[in-house]
Amino acid sequence: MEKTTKILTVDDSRSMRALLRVALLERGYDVAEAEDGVEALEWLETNSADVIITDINMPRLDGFGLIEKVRSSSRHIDRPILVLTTESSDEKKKRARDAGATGWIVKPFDPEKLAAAVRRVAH
Amino acid sequence: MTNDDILNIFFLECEEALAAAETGLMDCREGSASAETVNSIFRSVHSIKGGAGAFGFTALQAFTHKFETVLSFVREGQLPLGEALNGLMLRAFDLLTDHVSAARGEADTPDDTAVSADLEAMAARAEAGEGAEEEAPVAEEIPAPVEDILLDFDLDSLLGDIGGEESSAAEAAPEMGPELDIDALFDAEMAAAEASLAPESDAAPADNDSADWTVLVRPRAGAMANGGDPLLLLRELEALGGKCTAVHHNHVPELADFDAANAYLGFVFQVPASVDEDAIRDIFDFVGDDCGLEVIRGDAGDGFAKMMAPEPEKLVREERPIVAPVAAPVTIAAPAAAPVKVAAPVAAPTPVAVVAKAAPAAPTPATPVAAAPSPAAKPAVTPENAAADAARKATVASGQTIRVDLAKLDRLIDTVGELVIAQAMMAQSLSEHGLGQIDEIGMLDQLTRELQDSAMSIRAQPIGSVFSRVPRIVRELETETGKRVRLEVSGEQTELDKTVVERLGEPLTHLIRNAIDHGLESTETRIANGKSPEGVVKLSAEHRSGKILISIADDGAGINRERVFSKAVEKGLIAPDAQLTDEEIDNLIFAPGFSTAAVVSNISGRGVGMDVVRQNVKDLGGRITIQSNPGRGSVFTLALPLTLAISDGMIVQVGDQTLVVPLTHVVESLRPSTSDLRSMGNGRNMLDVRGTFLPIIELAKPIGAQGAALRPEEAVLIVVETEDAGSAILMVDAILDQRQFVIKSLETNYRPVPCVAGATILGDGKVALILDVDTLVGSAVSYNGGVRLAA
Repeated sequence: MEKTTKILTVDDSRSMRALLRVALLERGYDVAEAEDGVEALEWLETNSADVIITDINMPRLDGFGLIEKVRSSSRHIDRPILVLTTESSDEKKKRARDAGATGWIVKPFDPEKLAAAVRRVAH
Repeated sequence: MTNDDILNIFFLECEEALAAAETGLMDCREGSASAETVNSIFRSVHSIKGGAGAFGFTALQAFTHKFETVLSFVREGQLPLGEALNGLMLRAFDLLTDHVSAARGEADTPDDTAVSADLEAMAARAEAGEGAEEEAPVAEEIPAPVEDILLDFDLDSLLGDIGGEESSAAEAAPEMGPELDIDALFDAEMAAAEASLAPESDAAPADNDSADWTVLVRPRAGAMANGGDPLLLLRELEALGGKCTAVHHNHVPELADFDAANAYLGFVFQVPASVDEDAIRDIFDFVGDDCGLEVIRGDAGDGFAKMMAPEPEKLVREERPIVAPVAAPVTIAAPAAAPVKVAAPVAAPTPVAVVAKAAPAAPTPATPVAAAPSPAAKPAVTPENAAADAARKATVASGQTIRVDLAKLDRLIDTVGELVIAQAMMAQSLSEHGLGQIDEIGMLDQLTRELQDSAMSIRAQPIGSVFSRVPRIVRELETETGKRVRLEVSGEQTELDKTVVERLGEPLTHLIRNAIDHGLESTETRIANGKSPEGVVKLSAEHRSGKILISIADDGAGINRERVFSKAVEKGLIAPDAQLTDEEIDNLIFAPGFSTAAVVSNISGRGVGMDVVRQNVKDLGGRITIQSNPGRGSVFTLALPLTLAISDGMIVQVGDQTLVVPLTHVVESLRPSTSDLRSMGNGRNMLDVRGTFLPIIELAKPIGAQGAALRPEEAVLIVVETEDAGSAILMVDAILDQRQFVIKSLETNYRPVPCVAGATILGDGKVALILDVDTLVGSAVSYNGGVRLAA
């Protein structure tokens, strides 16, 4: 892979962003961050990411809203999106998939699983 | 960034989340809650839960989970806000605060059994109420499922039409899988009901643990929706050591029917026996039902081999050209990112892409990723105005702030303090050289002061952080005492020094307890006295003439002076026949040893007396006063300095020493007339100040100053008042100046010295000691009534 995979993490929690950043940087990914859906969309207007990792519960624009907006834009329509979820029940997974997520990462995440999840969706 | 750094960030977030949750909960209680209020409480609790999980705070995580469950029901409207629910949420919130403290290691893990049980009961009630609705999508958050659209692809009929010809590609696989009807397996209907396949795998000799895995993968239409790409999943299988042994392509439709968003190929992989089954299944976790998957322990089987065997090479050569976006055999090109119109570029009649390449080459799905069912088609779920509203609130809530290490800040303030001193020294020495009138000096002086003010204001914090703890205390007391209390808070934005804010918590807590426990009457008494059954406690802060005034007022019965008086007599604090003014009686409650068991219940009297409160306030350089009105309540007022680092003082000369007397203590200064002086023997003198005799303390003695005036008549006397030891008079040679000074701690720079509160550097560069007037006077007058100073 000649180009570094760039990942946009979207979470209103600074500590969660920091945990993601540390885990992703260690594995050689580029990381950009946004605090919520609105900021993520603003960032995506002028930038691009190979994978978006987003939390669900966020102020202003939540994860589902972000996915919907991303999926309705022509530039990012097939952008892989991983959602951070605290539950791994089949119902939650279905909900995430139905919302347009490509996959999910169960919090608290294990850095290895995070990397595997990214690998499985990064085009 | 280390884990500890992140942990600290988490704790800061917890503080913010708790503050936000409490604000929201108070709104709920006052009935002014909106949907966004509940949302924000939910988010706060949820974010604490997330971090708690990440950092392994299991007790905190478990508790937040229960709290969150109830909040989610509230958010979804299944639990209407009411008194009982508000009460429970507040109790849960208080416990959550304790749990966070425990996570920080500041407290023991609280016992949450009762509240947890209540939360679970509440959740159970919500579930029972509309149990069936539990999975219903939340209108605000969950977009309508895309499912419907996906199901429009009638996979069954689509695949059924094709059927027929069996052509597969396979790597020469020596060990073959069990007999399997691959076609059936890949049939949508069959695969959808995975359970029905179990007998088939059972039928196969599959109980051999050492056999390689046979993995059958059949992506369906949805597998490529939402940015998914089955190719990546197949690569993961390869990463586990898997090899593609066959590709099943007989479902590939005629070109005219070809849908770029659909998936037509099936793959057979052989994965080493050593790989864990879960590891294989995990790969396909994301695609779920959108990808048929069978993982079978498989021996070689003839039927299987036959089915998959037809020479792969022939197949590849013979097969028609590869469809535009589909990968070339060896390296797998990712499907084009843009939706591709499949029909156009394909020349061949039936687009089939079959890749069967030796070793690690991976097959690729024959379909490019195409436009997933357009999300735009989904109903817009988040109303624009709601989002805008939330955005507005968020903007208001989060001020523009940065976090700075306190040590850095203190260094800045220290340096600015030095600058102020240097500036004063320069001004002084310039004026000694007759250059005092330079304009620039005035400018510099002003700039320095502004710089100092700004630096000090950085350390200033709104008192709200202390006030915010009060509602909880009030709630707890309401429960304990059975009294109803309305708390009115004002002036939360008033700023004062961080250290003062931090140390204010304890005295404030005590005063609040005192106000509710003693100040307010019981509900019955209030009703009997024609008062509102709900007692009012007002907490306010304001900036006034260089000080911060904090008052705690209740509308209760006021201080029962008779009782206080008799208690004080009983305790031997005053003579039974003492003539005291109302104010003096009121102040008796601050006397050390005024144990008020008869008056104080176990709530306020938790080992801390009002004397400790007064001491705390005094340590902060402030004072506390009481105004009490029988039948109408009491007001405790704390007057605190804006900062601990700078203070106003009187610079005095005692022999060869220059000293600073903090201005807070100074009442007046005077030159005595001989007639007002009384010698008490022992070298002790008293001065008659308008009818009251005050002891004169000769500062030269404790300080060890040389050449000071020895007789009061030759000296300047400064009347000072203290908290504990009453008023006294300090005898000095002269008053030099009265100005602000920067306090330097002796304790940090040298060691604590009795009667000295610190030191400062004067304009001429000399160091002057700052007197600790309270200790000085206290020790001077305490020794058998005689003057004895700790020299």
